[in-house]
Amino acid sequence: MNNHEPLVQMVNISKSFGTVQALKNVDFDVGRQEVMGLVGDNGAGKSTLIKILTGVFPPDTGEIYFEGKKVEIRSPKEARDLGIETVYQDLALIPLMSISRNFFLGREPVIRVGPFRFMDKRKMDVTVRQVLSEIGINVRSPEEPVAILSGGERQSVAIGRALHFGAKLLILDEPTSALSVRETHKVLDFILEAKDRGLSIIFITHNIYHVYSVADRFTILEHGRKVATLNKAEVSAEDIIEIIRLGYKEGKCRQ
Amino acid sequence: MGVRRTAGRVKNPPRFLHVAVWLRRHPEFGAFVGLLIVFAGFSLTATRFLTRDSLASILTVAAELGIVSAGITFLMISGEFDLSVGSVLGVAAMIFALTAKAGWPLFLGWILALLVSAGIGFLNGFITVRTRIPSFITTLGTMMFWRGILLAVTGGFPVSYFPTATPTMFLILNGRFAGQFRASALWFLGIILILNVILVHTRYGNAVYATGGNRDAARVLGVATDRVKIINFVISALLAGLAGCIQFARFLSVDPMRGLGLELEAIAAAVIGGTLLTGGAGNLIGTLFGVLLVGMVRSGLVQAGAPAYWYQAFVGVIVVVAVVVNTNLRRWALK
Amino acid sequence: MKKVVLLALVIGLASLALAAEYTFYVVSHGGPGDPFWGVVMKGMQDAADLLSKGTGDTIKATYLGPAVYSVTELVNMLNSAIAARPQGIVCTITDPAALDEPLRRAISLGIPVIAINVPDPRPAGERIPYLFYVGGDEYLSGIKAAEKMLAVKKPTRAVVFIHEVGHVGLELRAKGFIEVMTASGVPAEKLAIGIDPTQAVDIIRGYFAKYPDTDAIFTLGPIGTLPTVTFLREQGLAGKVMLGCFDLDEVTLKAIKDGIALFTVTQQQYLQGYLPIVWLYLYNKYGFLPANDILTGPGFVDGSNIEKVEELIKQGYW
Repeated sequence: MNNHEPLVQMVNISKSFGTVQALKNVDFDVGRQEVMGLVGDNGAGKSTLIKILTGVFPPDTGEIYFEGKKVEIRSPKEARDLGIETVYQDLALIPLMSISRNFFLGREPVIRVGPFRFMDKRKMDVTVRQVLSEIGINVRSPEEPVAILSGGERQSVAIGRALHFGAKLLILDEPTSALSVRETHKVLDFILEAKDRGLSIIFITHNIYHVYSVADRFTILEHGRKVATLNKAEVSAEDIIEIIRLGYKEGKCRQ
Repeated sequence: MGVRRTAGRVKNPPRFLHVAVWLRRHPEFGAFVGLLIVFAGFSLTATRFLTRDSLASILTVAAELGIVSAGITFLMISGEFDLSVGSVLGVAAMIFALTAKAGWPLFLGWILALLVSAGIGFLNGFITVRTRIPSFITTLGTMMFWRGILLAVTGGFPVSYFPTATPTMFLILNGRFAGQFRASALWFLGIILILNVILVHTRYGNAVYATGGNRDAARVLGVATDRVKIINFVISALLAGLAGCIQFARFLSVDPMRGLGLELEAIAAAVIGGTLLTGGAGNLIGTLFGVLLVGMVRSGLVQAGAPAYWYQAFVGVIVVVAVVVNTNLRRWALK
Repeated sequence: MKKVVLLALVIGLASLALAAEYTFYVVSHGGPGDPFWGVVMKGMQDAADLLSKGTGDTIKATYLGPAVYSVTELVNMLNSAIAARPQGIVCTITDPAALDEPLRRAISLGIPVIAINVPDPRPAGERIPYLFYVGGDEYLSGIKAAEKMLAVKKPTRAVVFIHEVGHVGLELRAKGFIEVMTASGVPAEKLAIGIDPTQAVDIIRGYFAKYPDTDAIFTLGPIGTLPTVTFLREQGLAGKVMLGCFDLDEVTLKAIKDGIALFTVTQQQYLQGYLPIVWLYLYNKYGFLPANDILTGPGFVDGSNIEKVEELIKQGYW
């Protein structure tokens, strides 16, 4: 059930670094319970746009609206507080640490003993076991290091973590690029499940076929400008590839 | 080779799965086994090794090294090194000695020594974090700098302080009890316990593991990695300074060479105990075993009658063997 | 009357012309802040002052030493001294290889050179051809220390605590000691104790556990003396074990006063500053040369002269 008001709206965003204009007058929005594919060639401005959305740096011009309200996102922490979570390819989980510790990093539940606060390991354990079984990952114990999980399992745990902590918008940066075929499908399935559970997702990737299978809409960036927002019904995956490969005008003409 | 865990199925687990799981959670086990082997070895070959005095003496050596090693372990787990601990130990001891000689109340001199140590640690951390120069290099520099200051201030000569009766402050720091046991052992065990609880059972400890495991990932997930590192640099230097004062409380004399070479022994003990050089893993219990092992080796070699000039070689071999064993154990457990 | 005045004038002018000025440089590896070298400097200055006052000539002596130990700095300072073309150079041969070229150059320029504190260990034909050496003899120090102990009582077992293995000076001291002990039928060996006092005490304790009949110890410097004295005190062995030390520091002095240490060996470094200045003057003016090196050590400080020495330390002579 898609609410027609967008979850996040970025209006007229521009950003320059010295003489390089990374983004120029970009409008970008993501609806509720929607998977948005953010695509474009290298240097198109995808990562700059996302960094603005997640508070790494502010835009030069433009506004951001979240759940209808105008917001200023000044740090990654503020983005997180709003409910925007990001899963970067290698930066989602720390392999040497246990699944449990990773899951709750920065948000560990505590027990108070006098003036001291200790991590509530039992609670962490129980919660993570539950989440893992929901995802369908089988490990002996949540105390096991993340290193024993496969790439796909790690992505799923990161997504499950975002879900658990009530994220509203999840940004996935190249979630399937290092995965096997089977693992890719598991992750894509989980993305759809996350959407069913109320999450909106921005899916950034170079692999158009992967994102095509789960996305509702696509935003194509080219040289810092938005060149198209397309519904899945309007285009095929090959069309999108052509647009990116040849540039908007040529690609569109070839349709 | 390698296990691929997929949902619902566990393929090709190592034969002793329970052992592997347990080993993964307790990296200090390798050090413990090593300690037992060394202990047994010397008990058999050195006649008076098992006496109370002998063990108390080993514990005394381990305590001072261990206090420094505990601080370094904590810092290494967050992904940094502190090579200046030996110089800090010397500086702190010298401050303690000079203030005592000048007639200051010992408690104040002690506090000043600790404050200066913490300050040096803060400087180490601040420089490392701001300039992004590897801490190996920055603390190599500060190690030489503070050693140079020590030499310049003292002109190369020792500083001694001879009170008429042993002051209470010195008894608290390093007094004897139950024969040859010393208060330094209590300081050591207390510090190990407290630091381990912080590391393993608090949010800060989680942040330490994360910062060392993958600093960028930790950052992205909201951990204040710079702050964690600076705090740990302060802890490392503070404990080194404490060890220097504890040592002075017994010997009453400090020369500017005090603490020279300590940093490598402290790091070796931590590594033997399962702390990774690359950061992100390890704990204080492992350091406890590592320090006891290192303390035991030299003592045992003397009592077993080994030729004096062979100690260095033996200690070196043991360090390498211990690390190889630990690494292989860890790799096997992760399969 | 006029003849007397004329004679006085001639003599006066002649003695003015005859009053010579001598400039000597002492170049050493010891820094200006080091109390050990402070004594050497005082010896040097006292000699220069005394000679100037006593002879009517002007003797000027300057000490050059790097603040932090550095052979490069030492060589730089030496080159500066040579460039000043003084009437004599006194130098510690800390690194014979590095000092070979500059000192030979100085000697070929006619500047007499006296070595102090550290000699060139090479044999006569090879070594830097300085006039002679003024300083201690490490090997002889060990020998004399052992003899001094044997004069008190023949120990059952003797041990040398070496705190810096491989240090040439320390190894020579140990060698002399062990050879004399062994020749007298006393089992004697080296024990490496390192520079950390806590570890050293543990090593010493282990040694005594294995050889409880040990009753003679020779330490090679304050770094070795500290843990030894601590061990003896803590174990109640003070007085039961003969202890000989090296060099003077507060811990060593207290040990002698408390009767824990029998003696300490010194190299009387005041003489290493004093004597070369006197000899350079005598050599320059009259061509005198001693027939052999002048050994300022081993000298001994023990119960018989400790109080006097303590007083003199305060005055800067020891």
